[in-house]
Amino acid sequence: MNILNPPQIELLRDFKNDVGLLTCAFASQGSTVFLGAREPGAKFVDLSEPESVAQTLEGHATWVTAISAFPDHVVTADYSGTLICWSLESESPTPRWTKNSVSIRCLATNSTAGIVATSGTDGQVRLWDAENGASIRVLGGAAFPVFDLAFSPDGSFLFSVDRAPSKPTVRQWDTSTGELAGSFDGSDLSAYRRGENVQWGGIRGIDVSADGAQIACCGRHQYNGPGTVLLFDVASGQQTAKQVSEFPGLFHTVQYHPDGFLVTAGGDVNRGEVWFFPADGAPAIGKAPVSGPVMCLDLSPDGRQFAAAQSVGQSAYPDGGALGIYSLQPTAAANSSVPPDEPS
Amino acid sequence: MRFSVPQHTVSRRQLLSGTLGALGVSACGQPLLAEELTQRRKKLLLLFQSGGASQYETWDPKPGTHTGGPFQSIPTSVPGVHISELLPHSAEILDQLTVIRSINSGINDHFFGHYAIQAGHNLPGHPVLGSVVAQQLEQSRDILPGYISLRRDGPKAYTDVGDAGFLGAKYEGLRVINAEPPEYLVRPESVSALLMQSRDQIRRRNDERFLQGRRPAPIHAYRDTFDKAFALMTQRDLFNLEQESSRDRERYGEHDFGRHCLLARRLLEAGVSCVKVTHHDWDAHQENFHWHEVRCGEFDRTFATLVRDFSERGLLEDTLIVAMGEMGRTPRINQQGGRDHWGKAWSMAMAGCGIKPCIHGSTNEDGTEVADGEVNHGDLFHTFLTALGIDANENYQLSGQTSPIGDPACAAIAEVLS
Repeated sequence: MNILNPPQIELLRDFKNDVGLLTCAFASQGSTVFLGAREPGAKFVDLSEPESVAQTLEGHATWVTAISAFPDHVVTADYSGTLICWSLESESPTPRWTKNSVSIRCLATNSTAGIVATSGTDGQVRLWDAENGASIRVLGGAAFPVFDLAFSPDGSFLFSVDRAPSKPTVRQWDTSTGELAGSFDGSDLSAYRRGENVQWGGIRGIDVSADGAQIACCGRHQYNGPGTVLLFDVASGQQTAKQVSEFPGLFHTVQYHPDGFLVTAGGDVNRGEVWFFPADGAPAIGKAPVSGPVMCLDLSPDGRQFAAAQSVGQSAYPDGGALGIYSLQPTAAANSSVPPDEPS
Repeated sequence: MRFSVPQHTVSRRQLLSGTLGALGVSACGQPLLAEELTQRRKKLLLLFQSGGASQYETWDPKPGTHTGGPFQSIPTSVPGVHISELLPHSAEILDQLTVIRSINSGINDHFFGHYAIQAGHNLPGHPVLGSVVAQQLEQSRDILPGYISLRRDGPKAYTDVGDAGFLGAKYEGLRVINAEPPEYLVRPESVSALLMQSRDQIRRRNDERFLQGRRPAPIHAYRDTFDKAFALMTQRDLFNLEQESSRDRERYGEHDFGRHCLLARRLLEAGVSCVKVTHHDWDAHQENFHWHEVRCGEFDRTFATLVRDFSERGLLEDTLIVAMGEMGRTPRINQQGGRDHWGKAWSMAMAGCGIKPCIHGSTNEDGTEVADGEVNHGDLFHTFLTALGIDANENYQLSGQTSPIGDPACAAIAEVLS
């Protein structure tokens, strides 16, 4: 691991919560963060207010499991399948439309295509019109729960990742036709084994590079291995890199930083870490501990901060949760394993 | 010089009468009629949720509490009674079910739990429910094994805990994996059916001769194993689920649990006294909620279909259907979103055999303790056997020694028995 130029993080704000957090997302303007926790309702914090506390939005009767942001809008989803689009045009988020579906575990949005995508335990991927929530279509989906979704930058493709027991798979969907355009083999990430109890199998997180040419997936390396990131070339469908960390936990989330490198995070019991990988497949360029297991991480639009949804506590049972707001100061060489030139 | 040993001498008359007897015909040619042929036999179908299903996500939801999790409760066919939203099909038939919400087994271990809940005792060595039922309800006309256990391959090690104990190999559960018939059940073409029968009779005669002056237990074990295999050879078609309609195969579910339940019905209809179907992977230490969505999704529709099907076929009156695991799951949710082992307050459900449909017992507001109607695994054991017409207060007679069938410190739950 190249530790010469690791990105630096610093905890800026720490919003405590009575129960563990499940998800978080920055609104597009970068000063508001939405979060979901093990309690009913979505919450938000206004980072522009130094003394702000999390406020609860009415509308979700159960735990909010996924959040994604549009310009001027944020979409939240919960275990019961309630999907709410919130307008941010007024002082406080107000519901713009609400739809009811089946249990939702993940969602993604694309403003170019004007689409919201949801999926969850039933493995079916559903597309919704971002303007009014009208159902567009249901994609074939998988027979296994889908863990995450990500759009290509122009919204023409949607990628879903699942926990198929023998072969976790990335599926590439054409959003205009609903047809399956391709699939990528994620077998290097842990798969559930028959005869075992529930395991941390499957592809847990996915993101698409800014140019749409590459996708990054995260999870755990094979059975019970360390947190791992896989890179795939979209055009060929081939896996181009397997970046195995030293972190003995599961990477839940991965994102491309605006500067091009990868940010991933996850947790084990009582422990959470953020790891940084270059997008060329080279080994990790840095890591940093955070206060607890990270269930979800979201970068601010400018990439200078990230929000981490965490559980906290020293025992197997969390004492609560926390939304950590961290500054992120990537160095010039953070998107490459090659160290910068020494000054003459 | 011809050499003859008296105990190895088998007369032609003896051989013929044995062969004819096996074919159901007396030596004088009259059909055999046994009193048992006219009796309706009770049966047990045990649906075992191995790993421990969460009572919060099944029969005893606590929505809106700090222990309740994200799911809501839904009304059922019993006014005023709600169960988890993850069991919508079971909610429709709750008026046919008995739900026990007040189990305190005090056991938080898979291995011990699997044994104790099936044996009704804490001390090791007692036979499990299936073996007890097979022994107590066996009839002279029985062809098939009395106890058959269905599961998929690759289970956790604790799945097969518990056996026939001192009842012997005859009452051991025959394990059927992936709904496939045991191997080598097809008679070779070169061996005719009559020849196979004759060979089996010779084997039996030889076993009887060999028993003289020797310890019987090992010989009986071999004999019983051969008998089971022989019986299955004649009943191989039972395992052919293609004989069921596509409608039934679809509504039971195109997954392991669904196929096993459909096979279980066929086996019980064919005369097996007890079939145990294991539904695996309930041990949700991580991601309890998403995982129960998956497990309950499989279990719920199949279970409701089973109960309805048995009722429509007239089987429910004489079949006790029991759905339970070896323990429940913790009220507290751990850091990985899971629930851990919890034997203090958990639930199960059953139907049929005259059991009164009702809700028995309750837990406190957050489900951490039993509030009313506490029962333990020994009480459940007594209850199951009583419903099947077996007196669990009786003793086994074991070569001059006795052993209680049920734990003498426990008793059947009178409120749920007719």
